[in-house]
Amino acid sequence: MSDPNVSLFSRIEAFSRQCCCRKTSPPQPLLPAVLQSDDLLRNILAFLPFEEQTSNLRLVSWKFKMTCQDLLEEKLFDINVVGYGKRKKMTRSSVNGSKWTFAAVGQTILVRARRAALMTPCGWRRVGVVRLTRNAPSTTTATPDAGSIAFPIDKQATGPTGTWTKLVSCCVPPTDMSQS
Amino acid sequence: MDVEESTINLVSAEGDSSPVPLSVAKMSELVRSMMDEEAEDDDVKEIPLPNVKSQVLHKVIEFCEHHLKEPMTEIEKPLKSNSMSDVVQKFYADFVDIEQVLLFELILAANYMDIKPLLDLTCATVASMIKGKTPEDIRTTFNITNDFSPEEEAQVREENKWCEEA
Repeated sequence: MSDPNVSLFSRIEAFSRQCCCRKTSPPQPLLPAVLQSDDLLRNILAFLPFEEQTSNLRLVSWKFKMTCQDLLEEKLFDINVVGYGKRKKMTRSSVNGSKWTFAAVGQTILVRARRAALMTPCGWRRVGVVRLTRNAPSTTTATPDAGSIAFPIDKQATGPTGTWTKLVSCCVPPTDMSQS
Repeated sequence: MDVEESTINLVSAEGDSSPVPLSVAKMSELVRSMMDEEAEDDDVKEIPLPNVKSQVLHKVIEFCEHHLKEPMTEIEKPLKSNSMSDVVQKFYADFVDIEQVLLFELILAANYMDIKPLLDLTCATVASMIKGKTPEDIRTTFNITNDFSPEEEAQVREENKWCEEA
């Protein structure tokens, strides 16, 4: 039988040390080992809606915040900003070297820019959140529009929730740029 | 299932031995790989699981045995409900209707033994306990310390704003 004087969490933590791969935040003695493990916490939070991953969950603790960040990274689309400049008119940017992901119509996605001038220390700048509301016609040239982001469509594929649309580039209105 | 299916003993941290059919034991990728590694030996009769307590191992075996008869439906992401009975079959919903401590131990065991359906079920159950709760509620439920300084918390709230502008 287990010793009742030994904290359960201590025992779980000891157990966890053998199972966990990496830890990025300081250990919290009372936190169950499951929630200390990056991989396990990630498994858990992956079952929660995008809206919670981007709000409440990020406020629980550093561990939760970093794990949410990892999950969001999966949803972030490497979308090149289609030109941005207060004095320049919008131009299409190169898509070479980007890895593209599929997004479903109706899905909420985060958009970030990789343009050199917008880079953060981690190399990306968040420029907005959009919800895809329609399929754009193929080879559309993106046109900035206050409060919205246009997504020219390259290809379509059948995904688990219907037709998925490949994003090839996007426009980010100047108003969104100033928000981050 | 074969009546004469051979069995293997899974040995818990306490040294208790539980004979289980091979098909059940092999739901664990850990057990499967250990058996494969030992394949050159004549007979593998025991698999030691020093990280899994007897009580937890019995639950794991119960899950695996049932899963072979009635596979669990895949759990959709994100969860549509806080109630696991809306997400999986009754057996599985009842299976995880247990104390939080045991639930966490099951997660660790499922992770260690590499049993994906069990890991999904248990992680989804914890997620269902989190879904819709405030950060403070979540901290209270799981005894999590708020390790943000007031300034850091304010910064996270600020960061969250751009996410909410969908």
